[in-house]
Formats: sequence, structure tokens, C-alpha cells
Amino acid sequence: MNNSHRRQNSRGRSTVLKVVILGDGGVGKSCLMNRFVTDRFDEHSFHTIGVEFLNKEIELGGETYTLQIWDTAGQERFKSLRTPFYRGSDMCLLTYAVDDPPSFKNLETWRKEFVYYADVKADFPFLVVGNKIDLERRVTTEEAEAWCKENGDLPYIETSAKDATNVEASFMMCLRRWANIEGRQERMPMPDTGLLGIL
Amino acid sequence: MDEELLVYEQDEVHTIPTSQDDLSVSGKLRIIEKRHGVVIEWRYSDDETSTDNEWAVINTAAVTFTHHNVSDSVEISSPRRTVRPISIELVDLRSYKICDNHSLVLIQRDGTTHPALAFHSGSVHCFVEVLLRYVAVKKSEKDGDLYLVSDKRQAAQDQELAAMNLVPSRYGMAGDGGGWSGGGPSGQWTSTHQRVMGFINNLKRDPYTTAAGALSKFYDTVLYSDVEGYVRENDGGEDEVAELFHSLNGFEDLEPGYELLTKKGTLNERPKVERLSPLTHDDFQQYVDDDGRIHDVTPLRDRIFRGGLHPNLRREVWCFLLNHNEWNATHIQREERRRSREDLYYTMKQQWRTVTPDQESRFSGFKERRSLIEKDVNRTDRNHPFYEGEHNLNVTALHDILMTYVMYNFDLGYVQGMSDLLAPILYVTQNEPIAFWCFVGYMDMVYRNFDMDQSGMKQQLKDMQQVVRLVDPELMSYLEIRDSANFYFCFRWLLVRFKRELNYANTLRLWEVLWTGRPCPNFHLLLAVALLDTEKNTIMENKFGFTEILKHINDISLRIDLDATLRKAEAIYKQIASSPNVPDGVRTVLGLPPQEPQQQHKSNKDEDASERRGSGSDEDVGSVNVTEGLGLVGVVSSMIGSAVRHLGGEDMMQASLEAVSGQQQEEGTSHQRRDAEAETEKRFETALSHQFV
Ligand SMILES: Nc1nc2c(ncn2[C@@H]2O[C@H](COP(=O)(O)OP(=O)(O)OP(=O)(O)O)[C@@H](O)[C@H]2O)c(=O)[nH]1
Ligand SMILES: [Mg+2]
Repeated sequence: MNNSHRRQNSRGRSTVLKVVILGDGGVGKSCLMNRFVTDRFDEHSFHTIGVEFLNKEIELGGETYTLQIWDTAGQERFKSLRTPFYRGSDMCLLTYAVDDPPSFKNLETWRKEFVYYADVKADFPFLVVGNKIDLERRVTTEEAEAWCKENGDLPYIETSAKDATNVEASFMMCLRRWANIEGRQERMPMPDTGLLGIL
Repeated sequence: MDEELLVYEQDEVHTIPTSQDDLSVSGKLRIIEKRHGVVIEWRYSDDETSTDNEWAVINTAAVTFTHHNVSDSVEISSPRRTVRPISIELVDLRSYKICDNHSLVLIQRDGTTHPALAFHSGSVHCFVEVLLRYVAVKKSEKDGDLYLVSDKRQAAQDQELAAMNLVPSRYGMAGDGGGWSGGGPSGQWTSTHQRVMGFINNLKRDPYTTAAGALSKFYDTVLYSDVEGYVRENDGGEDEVAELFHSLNGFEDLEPGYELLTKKGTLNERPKVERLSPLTHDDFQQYVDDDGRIHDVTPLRDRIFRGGLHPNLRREVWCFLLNHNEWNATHIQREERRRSREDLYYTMKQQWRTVTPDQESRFSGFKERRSLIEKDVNRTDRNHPFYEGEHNLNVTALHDILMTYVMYNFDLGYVQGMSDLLAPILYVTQNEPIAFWCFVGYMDMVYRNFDMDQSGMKQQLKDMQQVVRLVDPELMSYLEIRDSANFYFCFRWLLVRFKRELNYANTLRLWEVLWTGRPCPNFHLLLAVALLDTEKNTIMENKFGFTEILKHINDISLRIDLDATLRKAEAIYKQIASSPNVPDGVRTVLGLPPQEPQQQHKSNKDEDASERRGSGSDEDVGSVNVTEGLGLVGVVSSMIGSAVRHLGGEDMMQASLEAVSGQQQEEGTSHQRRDAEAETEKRFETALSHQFV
């Protein structure tokens, strides 16, 4: 059983994957998305109201994927209007800002909220993102890595939407992880055909 | 690169300013054959010289802000607008609009709606001519400006559909040897209800598949397809229902004795509405007596509703509209009140300013609010000259007012969206304590937007549903079928009262109009309905689903014609207010008196009927009372719509919000393929059996 719907985009050329970016208000979710999709950083862009999404094509292993990136408002208050959008996600970026310890502490809550409402399997492509590394940090890489390890060995990456560090790399990393998990599952019924190569 | 072929190029194609204070940007429009396909591109002309290849930042340096001299200041809106270049692969082009023969709006399949382009030289028709080499284009039958694009693949699909006889033709029915041609009125009637009953029987047998399957087929292939314009040209509702049902179902088991009730033309004509020019200083003085009292507020409110305020009057009159000043007070009393409220403001301001870091470390509720406010004021209208630049004192004032509001109303605290509501007020009043109290007045009107459980917002979305169902059942049915009946795409509009959708000048105009409370409570919902009415054809003819609608709605921000929308919203109000048979739900929302007793009686009878349906035997099954429906779409949608509405049991909104996430990307994919089918199906079946058995 494959949880992700293999949607084709309108012209049937690439697979559409739904990516959800979560994290506290102000950690830089919208900035990460905009940096990735348009390669711009606007220091004073508005905080997000409701939900927005942008599409971006990305290639992996000779295949083109369209990442449909969903960006929502981080404040607790808007939870009930945000969670309906989790279902059908193919991957999830759990984001905090390295200069903002409470946002790091809240990763736990975000992960739970996502798992609960997205109704995903244990083996889901999460990526933990520590943003704003251009600023003075108050959460160490070690702390973050330790948390990731404790929580199912989640992959971790540090970014700066401001100076574009690792932004594309983080989406790529998440996509790879998705492909790995997919590959494992596709192989299951026929363990020895090496489907991953064909995919 | 070398394999690219430039097949069309036009200079001096300008973006169209969204209001008089935006600048238009000149660019080149091109059609290029690339190796992987044909691409349409628009890039601004000085692209080559710009260091930044991607975006242009437009500075309208000519407009400057005159600080502390409000009466002379010009109305200005965001003077910096970023204009993105356009690049669309032709396969992604869904449709385009041509307005007044010279402006072009390109719309993508995913809902992306690009800024309007004007041809200052050349002609839009040359562009279209070249385009036609690659795609087939069909003019919309509903919207004279809209052209729907399809490629060869699409055209082939359409043919396939036609060949499958899913689409009832005007003259004969698929699977019906004899063909349905109407006959006399009585014969027509019998057949109609028989066919309806056949459908209902199928619903009983296999509700989920029948309802969802048939309806999605119906919508995709009949109503909004490019295949046939047949529905639109034909107004006879029953005929169409019969044809439709017949085409989609077997209708083997016909049961006699059921009637299909349809009520046509629920609403009267929508009247024409005119607006006035803004209220000027001299006009205003006529309402004020020598002591400064305003005795008769009603005509003044009416007048402000009709035209808004001249900018130099805002600072004074906003204080009344937002309850900082009392209408019926003298100059002297007003001055006293101002002073005491100013003191009160500074007292509350001192309260949070004297919280020590040590205290704060044990006061997490406070600390969280403070941190969010700090983040948000840094992201509020910073491209407006008033809030521009580092170390801007107005940004500090914004911060301080919001912090003080936290002390004033700690239960509500700070919620995202509030900074958007405050910024224009501070800009207009230019005075910290006054801005605070005006903000308090505004919050008193909209605090439900910020409910802890968001019930105020959910209620408004539900109210939208009710109003749209009445005003435009066709659109409502469409949204239901497309999993969009939750109206979630209106969320931002409603939360900050269109602030993000309008430039500054228009935001100020709209808000003062809304604050008059005219012509009815919740007028802002009618504004949203009017906006949807404007976008309806684009949404429906492009067959947008939930995600596409969301994207389209987000993309049209800053391109809204406020004056036209206000006129339309008021016209809709007048239309509803003058019509009989307006459901009580809508009456409550718009503050209209309850229905006349006679009509009340009638609706009681309807309730009785539905009660009987609820408990009765099989014989009662078919009394399908389609009161709100109009014609074809209404009839079908009321049946299926009510089934769909029951999906979520009590809390329909949540259910349909949840449904959103399960929906799929492609066109035409519908309920059947959704996740959690088993459970949903069960609920659906239960709901249906309540409804029809
Ligand atoms: N220095 C620095 N600042 C950043 C970075 N990313 C974002 N910011 C700033 O952080 C603030 C918040 O960024 P957003 O992208 O709006 O945050 P968000 O997570 O989308 O917040 P909500 O929409 O409120 O949920 C903005 O003022 C950005 O300028 C970064 O990598 N470095
Ligand atoms: Mg955001």
C-alpha cells in the first residue's frame, strides 16, 4: 500500500509531491519557500495568513518532480485551519530557528501535530531544518542532532534563507529520503528486482 | 540554447498598474520554441542592464510621504512593487483573458494568474495569432473576455468523452433508444420525476458511487466542459435534469407518485448601484454644530458609506467611527476624554515596560506574545514609506501599541493579523495613544476573528456558504463538487478585512466604509461574495479545483477594483433584501427581519415534509423538495449537496476542510478516489438514508 498518491501534474510529465513546511511563527518558513522557488529573500515580507503554496520543479535521478510546497501560519491559534492541509503530504520539513530556543523546543509539538493529522506511517520522510544560521545561534548543532536521533533518527540540516545556504540542498535531501522510502516500499512485494533503479 | 527558436517578440508590453499610484513596467513578450516545448515569456526591458536577472524592484520615488502633516499628505500605497518576469510553458497555459482589446492576462492550469499586460505597441491579436499555431482556443460562452486553451491531447480527450456518450446530446440520449424529446407538459413531468426517482433508487442502493460518481461526471463532462454549450443555452430546468439523470443512470425501477418541486427565480433582479465621491471637510462641517456635537449620526454614516472620506478628514472622523470620540460630545468634552484616555494608555504602557527580564522568565504567556509581536511588526507594511527602513520609530510605535493592547486585553493577547489591522490606523492617526484607542474600537468589532478556537472565522465561512447558496446556487454547487465549499480560500480576506488584497489607499477607503455598519451587518461577507461573483467564470470555466482556486484567489490580490466590488456588494444586498423567500439563516447574517408569517407557514410545512421523510416508509421517499435550487444545477446540487453536507455529520466545515487535503491534483478526480473511503462511505450512507428513506 502506497500512501502517497502519485499525482501527475497537469501535463503528465512529472510527479507532483506535496511538501508541508511546519514550525513556529517567524522561524522563516515562507522565506525558505521563497528562496527555494524564486531564489529571493525579502527581509520584510508579510507573515503568512491562512495557507499558500508554490510549485517548483526539481530533478532527481533523471526524473522531474514538481514539489507543491505548502506554507501555513505558525501560530497555535490557527491550528484548526491549518491541519486539514496535512493529509496527502509526501514529505514534511520541521523547521526551527537556531537563534530561537522556544522554536526548537516546539519541534516535538509540530511533529506530533503533523503525524496526528496527516495520518502517516512511521516511516515518513521528515527533515528537520535549523534556519537562520547567519545569526548568532542559541541552539547548538549537537543539541539539534541529539533531538533528531531520539526522534527516530530524523535527518537534519542547517540553512539560511537569507544567504541561501543549504536551502536547495534541504529540499533535495528531503526528496532523496522520500525516494528511498518509496523505493523500499515498492520493492517489498518483489524484493529482488531492484526496482529502485527502474524508478 | 542554440536549439531555441524565437517565433514571436513584442516590445513595449507593459504591466498594468493596479491603481494610480503603481507604476507600469515595460517589457518584452516572446513566444519561444524550446527543445522541450513552447514557452511564453515576458521580461522587463532593462533586464539586460539589471544586475538582478530575476525581479525588478520598482521605486516610485516621486511620491513622498509628508510626515506630521497629515492634512496635506497624499494618499499613497505600497510604492515598491516587485514585478516578476513571466515564463509559462505552453502546456501549462489554461486560459487567457483579453480586456478592452488590448490587455492580456495569462492563467495557468494550476491557478497561477499573471499580472495584466497592455500592448503599447503591436497588438494582442498578433500574439494570439502566433499562439494559435500551437493550441486550440475556445471563447468562453459566459465570459466574453475569457479564452480557454486546449492542446491536441485535450482535444482528443474531449472527443473520446463524446464518443463514450457520457454527454447527453441535445437531440438524443445515450442508451436511450427512443430519445427524450419532451412531449406535452404532463408527459414531461412524469418522465422527469420518474427519472429523478431512478436516480434516488440508485442512491439508496449504492449511495456513494452513484452520488459522487454521477455528479463528478456530470460536472466535468456536461456543465463545464468545452464539449457542448448545451446546458447554458437551455433554461428549462426539468428537461435537463431528466436528460441528465437519464444519461447517467439506468432508471430501471420507476416508482410512481413522487413529485419534484422546483422553485425558480428565488431572488429578484440585482439593481444598479451608484456611489458618491468622498466626503470633504466642508461637507462634514454641515453635520457638526458650533460646540462640536454631531446630533444626527444616521445620515452622516449613510453618507460615509456612499463615498468614504477625503484623506484629510480621516484623522478626525476615524476617531468617531472607531468609538474613540463620542459623536454627541462637545469639543471640550472630547478634549477631556482624549486626555484621560491618553493617561490611561501611558499607564498601561508602563505596565509592560516595567516587567523585568527576571519576571519575564516566569511569565511565559507574556514572553511569547512579546516575541511574536517583535517578529510581526518587522514584517508589517515595511515597504510603505511610513514603516520603511531600519530603526523606524513608527515600527516601534506599532510594537508598543500592540504590547499595550496585550496588557489591556490579556485574554485575547496578540494574535497574528492584528498588526495588519493596526498599521493603517497608526498611519492615519499619527498619534500613538489615539491609534491605540482606535485600534481598541476596531478590535471590538472584529475580535471574533481571533477566537482561540477560531469559531468566529469558521462561522463567517459558514455564513459565506449560506449567502452564496442563495445568491448563486450554481457557483455553490460547483464549489461543493470541487471540495471547495469550505470557502477556505476566503480566509485571508476575512481575517484582516481585505487588507492584504488591496493597496493602502483602497484599504483605508474600504475600512471606513465597513465601519459605518451600512447597509447591513456583515457587509464584508457580501464584499467577498461580490469578489467571488467576479471570479466565478474564471474559476468555473477553467475547471479550477480547490488548490487552483486558492492559488488564483491569492494571485488576484492587489488587482481588485474596489469601487466596482463595493457597488456589486451593495447591489447584492439590495437584491436579497428586496426578495421574498430568503432563508432565515441568511436573514440573520444580514440583519434582515424574519420572513412574513405566510411564508413562515410554508417553510413550516416544508419542515413537516422532511420530518415525514425522516421517519416514513418507502412510499414517502420521493418528496424531494428542492426549494433553494434553481434549474438544473440547483436541483442536482440540493440532492447531492445535502448528502455531501452530511458527510461531516454535525461539523460540516471541519469535514470538508479535511476533505481538502485528500483531494487530488488532476482535473476531474473526485470523491471516489479519496482516502479513508470505508469510513466516509459509511457516514455517507447513513446520511443518505436519513435524507431519503
Ligand atoms: N537572518 C535571517 N533572518 C531570516 C532568515 N529566514 C527568515 N528570516 C527572517 O525571519 C522573519 C520571519 O520569516 P518568515 O519566513 O516570515 O517566517 P515564517 O516561519 O513564515 O512565519 P509565519 O508566517 O508567521 O508562520 C523575517 O523577518 C525574515 O526576514 C534567515 O535565514 N536569516
Ligand atoms: Mg510565513
